[in-house]
Amino acid sequence: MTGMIQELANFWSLSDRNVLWVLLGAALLGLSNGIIGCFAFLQRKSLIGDALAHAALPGVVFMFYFTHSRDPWLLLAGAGLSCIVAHVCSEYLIRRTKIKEDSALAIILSLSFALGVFMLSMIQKLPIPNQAGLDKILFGQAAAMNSADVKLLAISSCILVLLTLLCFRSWRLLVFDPVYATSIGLPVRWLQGALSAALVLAVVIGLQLAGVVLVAALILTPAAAARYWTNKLGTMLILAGMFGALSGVFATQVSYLAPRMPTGPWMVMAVTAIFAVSLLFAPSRGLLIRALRRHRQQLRINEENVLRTMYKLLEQHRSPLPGLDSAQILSFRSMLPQQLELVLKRLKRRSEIVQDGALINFTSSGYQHARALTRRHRLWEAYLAERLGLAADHVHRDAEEIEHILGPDLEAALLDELEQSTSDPHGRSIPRSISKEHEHE
Amino acid sequence: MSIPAVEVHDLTVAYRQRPVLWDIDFSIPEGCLAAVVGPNGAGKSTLLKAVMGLLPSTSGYVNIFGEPVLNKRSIIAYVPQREEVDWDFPITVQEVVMMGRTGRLPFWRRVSTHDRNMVEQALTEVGIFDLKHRHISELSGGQQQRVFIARALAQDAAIYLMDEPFAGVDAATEKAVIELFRKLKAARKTVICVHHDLHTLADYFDYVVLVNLRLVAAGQTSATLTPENLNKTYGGRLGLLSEITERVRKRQVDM
Ligand SMILES: Nc1ncnc2c1ncn2[C@@H]1O[C@H](COP(=O)(O)OP(=O)(O)OP(=O)(O)O)[C@@H](O)[C@H]1O
Ligand SMILES: [Mg+2]
Repeated sequence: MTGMIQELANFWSLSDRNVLWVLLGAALLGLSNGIIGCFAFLQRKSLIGDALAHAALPGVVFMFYFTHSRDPWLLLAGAGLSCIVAHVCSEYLIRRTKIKEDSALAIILSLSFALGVFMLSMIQKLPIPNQAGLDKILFGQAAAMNSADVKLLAISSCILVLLTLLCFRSWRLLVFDPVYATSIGLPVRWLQGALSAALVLAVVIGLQLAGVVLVAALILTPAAAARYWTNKLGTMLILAGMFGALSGVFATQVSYLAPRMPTGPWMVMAVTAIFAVSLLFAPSRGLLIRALRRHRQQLRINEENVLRTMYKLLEQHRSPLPGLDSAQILSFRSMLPQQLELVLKRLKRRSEIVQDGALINFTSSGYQHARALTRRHRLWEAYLAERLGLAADHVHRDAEEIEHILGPDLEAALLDELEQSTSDPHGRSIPRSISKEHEHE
Repeated sequence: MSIPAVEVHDLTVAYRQRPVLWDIDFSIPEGCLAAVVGPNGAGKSTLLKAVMGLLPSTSGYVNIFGEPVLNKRSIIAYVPQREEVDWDFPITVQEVVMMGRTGRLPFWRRVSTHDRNMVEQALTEVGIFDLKHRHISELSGGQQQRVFIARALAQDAAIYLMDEPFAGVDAATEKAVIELFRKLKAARKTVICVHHDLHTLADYFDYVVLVNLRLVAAGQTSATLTPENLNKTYGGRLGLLSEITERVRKRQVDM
């Protein structure tokens, strides 16, 4: 354990130059790819990152073959060029033929990858020096990053972030409503071109670290995760950038602590974990949160129903009863005994009811609450019957579902509509509101 | 006579060499409410897009106040059909309407107070001011339509082109929009919209353009909206022209 902490301390002292480069590189890459990825994600071009990444491979190998150099700028240029060629080809296919976008991209993706792998194996047979590890571009190799690579990454990331800042408004309009954008005279082709170029750049700078196969995940997943947290594009960009950068830092740390661990795949794992957390826990959109909210709502409905049933049972008897037992409640309410148990426990805790042996009775606040609920329920039933002309025996079920969402404002509106009905469709009296009662006294 | 707001001259529009509008020729005077009417697939949306200069025309031209449309885009506001955008896009009502103001601004220009006022006014005018901070996915169909109209209003244009603003909206929204049109007319703005309801046509619009691949008739509603013209618009579906269009299409499929 102390060894681990020692290692972590070593890591964060950043005394190791190499660690610093990798850390910076991964964070910057995650940041810029996350930001640019949002636009591709919102344009529903999920496959395009993948296609571009695979298309970069032949470009890199080709460039190396001609220049015999491993200069990152040169390889970047090669990758960029072949990405652009692939992009133009796929656009042509989409526009000029009946092929749909996803099929076109899939064709381009597999074709260029095949071409790249083919060229790679050709080159390995040639006596070109300095080629060891060129195939690392398939899966990425962060550990091999040096200051030149990081410099390239840093400059490219800055360009991407700046470009996004400059084009934010136009890109948002372009992605949201391209026809309208054209109609007000925006240079849509140029804007789309700039966006595509930014995407190409984001992909090719990721090759060294994440590799051809994984880089697309760094583009898409942060955006998908960020979408869960916000309804604002600006916030979404910031979040996606942060998610990307965080996973970069995390992955670098893992591969420092366990040197066998590759950075790229860990980065993808981390960002996917963030996505999973978002999917489950994001407020309002997260699955788990939604389920939890549904559960709470159901509990509340059960509680309100029990209170109302008790009110009805007690009301039916002229002379006040000493209380009810759960069997009586269950005979009027279809719910499981253990459900009722739970509801009663919660009501007791909130001191709306008191239990004396088997006998259950309202406290005074519980009584007021039950009475207000009954009033709302019967008002709603009366409204349904009177205004919508529903038969009395149909009304009850519909009323049950709506009444739980009626607030005091709607209650007042109902009352106005009904011009002070005093009985519900079943002929039972609608309890008057508490405040009214005081007025009359 | 004064220069017409919109003059369409001999316009032919084609999608991939397949013409869908032939030799359209009409003009609309300034300050009138005009409806483009025709059956489904008649090319009404295509006509609006061509007037905006969104589609390349095979022949003919469109003039806006006597000048080519591309020079005059800033005074035209386009309201697309509602289905054309992704309503789950992360953006609020206010931000969409703000596009009408800032869409054309260079990035270094900040949103001015004037822009903000125009947006608020547009939102109020279509009755969705209270919804301005809502996300657009939380709107009903009629409210979505109002957002688009507000965006066009915020543009403060002279000519408004709307593609079926009444599609799928309730009577209250329809009435509100028509009121708005009358206000625009009073301010000498020109409104051209695709309209499907023949019952309300004469009531709402003072100018109609009847199209069905070709121009059937265009002019003042009272003179143009005759049973004969309507019959030509909706009846002659398999007239010579649609047959030719169909042939052109078949040949392309064969090729
Ligand atoms: N992008 C497109 N590519 C090819 N053909 C198109 C395209 N858009 C429309 N068309 C064709 O052009 C013709 C006119 O279409 P348009 O959308 O203008 O009709 P419309 O009058 O607006 O119909 P609707 O009342 O259904 O909206 C149709 O036959 C349609 O199939
Ligand atoms: Mg249409």
